[in-house]
Amino acid sequence: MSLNSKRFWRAAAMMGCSSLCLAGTAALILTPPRAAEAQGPHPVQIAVATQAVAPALAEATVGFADGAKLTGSVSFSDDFKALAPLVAKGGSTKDPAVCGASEEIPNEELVVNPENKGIANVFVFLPKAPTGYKAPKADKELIFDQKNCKFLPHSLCIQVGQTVKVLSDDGVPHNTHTFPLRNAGFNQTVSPNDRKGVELKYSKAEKLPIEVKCDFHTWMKAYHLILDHPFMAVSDANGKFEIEGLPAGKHEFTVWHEKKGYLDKKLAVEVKAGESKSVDLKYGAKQFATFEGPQPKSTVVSLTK
Amino acid sequence: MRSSSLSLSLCGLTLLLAGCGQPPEPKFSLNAKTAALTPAAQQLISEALVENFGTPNNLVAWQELPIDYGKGSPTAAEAHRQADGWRLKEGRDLYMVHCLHCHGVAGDGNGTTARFLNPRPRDYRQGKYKFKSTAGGNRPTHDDLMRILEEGIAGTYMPSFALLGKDQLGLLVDYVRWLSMRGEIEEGLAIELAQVGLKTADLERTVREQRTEDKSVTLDTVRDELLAEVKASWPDTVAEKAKDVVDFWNEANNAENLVMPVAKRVVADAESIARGRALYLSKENKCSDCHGPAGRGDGPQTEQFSAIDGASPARNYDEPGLRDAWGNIIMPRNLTRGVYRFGRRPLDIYRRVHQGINGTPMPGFGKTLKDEQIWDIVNYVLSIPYQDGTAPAPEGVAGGETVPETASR
Repeated sequence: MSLNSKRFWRAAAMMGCSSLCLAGTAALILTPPRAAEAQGPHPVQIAVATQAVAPALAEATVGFADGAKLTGSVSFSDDFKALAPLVAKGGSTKDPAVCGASEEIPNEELVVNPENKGIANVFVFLPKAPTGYKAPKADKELIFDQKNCKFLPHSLCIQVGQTVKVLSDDGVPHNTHTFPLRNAGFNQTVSPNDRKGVELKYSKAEKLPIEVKCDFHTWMKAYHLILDHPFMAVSDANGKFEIEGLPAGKHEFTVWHEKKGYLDKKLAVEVKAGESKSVDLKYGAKQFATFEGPQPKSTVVSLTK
Repeated sequence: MRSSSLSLSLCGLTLLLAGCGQPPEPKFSLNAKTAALTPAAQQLISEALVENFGTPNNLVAWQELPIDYGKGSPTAAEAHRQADGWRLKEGRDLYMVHCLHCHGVAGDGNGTTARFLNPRPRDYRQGKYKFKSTAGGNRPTHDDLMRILEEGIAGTYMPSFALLGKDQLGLLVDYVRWLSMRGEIEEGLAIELAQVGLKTADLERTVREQRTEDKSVTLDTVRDELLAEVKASWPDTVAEKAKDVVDFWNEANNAENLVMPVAKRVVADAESIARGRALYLSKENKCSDCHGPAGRGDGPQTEQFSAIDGASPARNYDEPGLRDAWGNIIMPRNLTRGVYRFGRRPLDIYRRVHQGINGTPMPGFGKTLKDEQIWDIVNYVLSIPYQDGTAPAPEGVAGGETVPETASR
């Protein structure tokens, strides 16, 4: 049964008064629940018109020979004051002998290089693989490390099916707790100084980067972007990124950052076969602004009004 | 005095006669994430849900979902069983009688009784279930849910419904799965629309930002532009969400996701219990950080502040404590009481240690500990109610150095 041929059984049935009253305020049972229902209309089978089905991509090619390349830089166009660290040196209340013992734990919500204003941890990716493209299997093992009670790297691009080794260089246990929307969640501990690693895999592409946390150390946070193709990159400490092996033609990239969300939903770029194209992205304080005022201290009593 | 009591009883009589004449129609409440969206976006989601799931009084059985709705048989003795979809309807009727007052019409865990309960009744709409035999964030199997209905959940308000009999419980399980799938699709769609920028608060901010440059921008123009983008692919979005949910629930029956020990249980002798205790207190595992050195569920982690999920800018809750996926404060299990939520069989404890507890900070140790070590911990945990919690920590037992009890206080 394909997703495009929806069929319903419309089980049209009014409930008896007893159930209705229970759902409301009073419980006054007059008739057994199904007495009224038997008189109601019988379930009708309704066939909903099928939607057009996309033509099957039988001749999908593995990889493209075009080999176009996109390089770029993301920079901050205003003055930037570094964010206060999450945990000051020696100021941790949790595992003080390890976390923040040698150096402070920085707030990586927005990282701007003071020298060249490059913004780190900006994801640039194609939301969908180009038409007719079949991604080659990703064999390269990725390393997701933890040091000084901080995830390394803070942002990681992962292809579906690719193996991620979660390591730890800290003398305390961590747990890697992912919050995906389309994959099953993962929450496993990583032993202290585990250099062999715990294996983590994703089986489905996510729309946007997902959060990864550690429950032992509540400040620890990282982002994983999982796609079913390799056309994604994250900007480095200088704000530079590079996407290789692109098919020639027009592409619409998504530019996303954890603090703001979408920086650009459709960054149109045209690349030519065998050539390298460069883009310079500039974002200012305004793009990253969030409401920093006092938060309302209200208690939600009921969500149903 | 007499007249007042007379008027009171008259009043009551009037209420009885007229008050229940037209009770309110049961409704599937909106998810908080949907309610945060702009009304036009809410409507988009509501319409998709009504189309595919109907209303409590007028159910729609969506054939894509892996649920047995009940094929009608013309020879069935009961009239209502002659038509298709009778299992869903019967499940609903049972749910409305037995489950609704805690779990709510939509399975949102927000029924009329819910606010008086701690722990709160489960909100099914995220597809997150704590007590199950499957790995990680996978959905529970039919049998897992069946077991909860049959046995109840020890230490909570969830009673056993075994007296309803297996047939009726089966109907309830399927109705709960159906509610869960409905909720997951709603939540998925709401998250998607929120990411596009259709939250009321986000829209207002976007308008404010854009109006500094272009005065012709209004809330309507911004919203309509975003909505047009969403509407272009809306049927595909709904179909894709449904497919994700179907995949999730089918995966639950995948034998690979069932958590089963490879090694046989280690005999629960004094040595195994001592090894288990050493592992429990060790620097490598730190069970005691949450469950406390004596297993009382009062570890130092319960005094840490947790970050509010998805808050921007990032900030912590005002109150310290561990939080579950629904934002409630949860206490780690007090192991001295011998009350275990999902069963006291050694296998049940094994699964909790091996996979952690979905929707809570409890992580799984299955990838870092060997089966024998997990069994040692199981043996220790099961012995805690009979242990002297004040005995000094063991030394020189396999499992490594132990945590000084005051270190992270």
